[in-house]
Amino acid sequence: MKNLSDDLIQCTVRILCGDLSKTGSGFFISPEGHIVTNCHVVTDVKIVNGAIQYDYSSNIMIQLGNQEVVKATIESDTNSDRPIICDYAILRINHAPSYWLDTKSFDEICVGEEVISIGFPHDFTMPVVTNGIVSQKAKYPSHVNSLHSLNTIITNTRISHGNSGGPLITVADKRVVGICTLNHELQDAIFQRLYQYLKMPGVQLDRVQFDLLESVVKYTNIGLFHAISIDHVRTDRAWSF
Amino acid sequence: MAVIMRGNYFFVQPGAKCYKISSNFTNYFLLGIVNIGPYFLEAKIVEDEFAISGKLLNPEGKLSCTVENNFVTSTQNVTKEMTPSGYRLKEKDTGRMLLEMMVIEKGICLIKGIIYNENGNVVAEDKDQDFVIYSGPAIIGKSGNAIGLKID
Repeated sequence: MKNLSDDLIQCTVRILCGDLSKTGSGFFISPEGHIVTNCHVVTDVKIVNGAIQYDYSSNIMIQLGNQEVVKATIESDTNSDRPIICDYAILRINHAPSYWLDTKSFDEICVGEEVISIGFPHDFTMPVVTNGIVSQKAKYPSHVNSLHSLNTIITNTRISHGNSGGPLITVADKRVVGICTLNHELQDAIFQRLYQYLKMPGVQLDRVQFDLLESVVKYTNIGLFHAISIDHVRTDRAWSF
Repeated sequence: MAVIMRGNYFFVQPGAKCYKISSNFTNYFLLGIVNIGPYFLEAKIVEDEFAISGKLLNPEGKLSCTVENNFVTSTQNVTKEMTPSGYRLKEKDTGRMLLEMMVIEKGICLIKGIIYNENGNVVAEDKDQDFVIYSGPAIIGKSGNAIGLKID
């Protein structure tokens, strides 16, 4: 792959929600300072009496490329459940970015197309780039509400904790196609099945065996990750730029 | 006279997404007349997705809320409770449930609720194992222009 332009890195920001103890990634989408990220980065989602309850962070801070930290406001429709279901948020800062990303719709993406992800995984405070391809395009039930299906880009581009909300960008035309969101669900399913099994009566493991199994599952990764199509964000009424 | 239906299949292919209304399975369900009548509830499958729209009234016959493809577009006295597999529409004051949608195993969407007309009368409701339609118009099952069951 050719050397990556610094422009793309400058488009990506780190998001810090002190009140929720959450961090994630985001990216500039307009010259007016609009930033797109995952909704789950800036909300606390709980299930109470079978119903989903969510609270938006009241203290969203954005770490820019020059390490400056500024306060952001939420621009997406917080009265609608659409941002929660589609897992996106539009933020805005009082700062005009030098660079922002153009978008590419779900229909325009080709399977096999080379893509990169930029974000702030784990404890990184500098943007980290990973690369891969569009492995498949699919409609997947929303991980928040299975009544709704989302246009989802399956990719082998590595997405870790902290990458959530970062851009998935096509290498050929440097346009954002999706919001890096989560691991392929199979990995979570393996976790759940293992823990269900360990809870069964009669199943006893010593500490070493348990630790070994847990480590195996923890580092088991089928190597596929999900990015939600940017098209879902474009339906928000705040998308007027 | 009320129409009581149980265990019917209307235009449902094996493995295809469908709605479960009480114990009936169907690919399409309509109560009232879409957009024209004072109330309606339309459940259809569009591009392999569940899409529920409606204009729901309260027991006083007044508009409670309108729903467009599962999103509440206007509401007077209703809260939408999102659940991991669907949603519930409840009256704010009383907490009474008007409508519940829930995706259950194998892509089946369960519909439960009470539908009122403009006079505040119950048009249809789920009751124990039945879904009782007290008055039409209603359509259950649709394929192109072909209609499964029409109740006037």
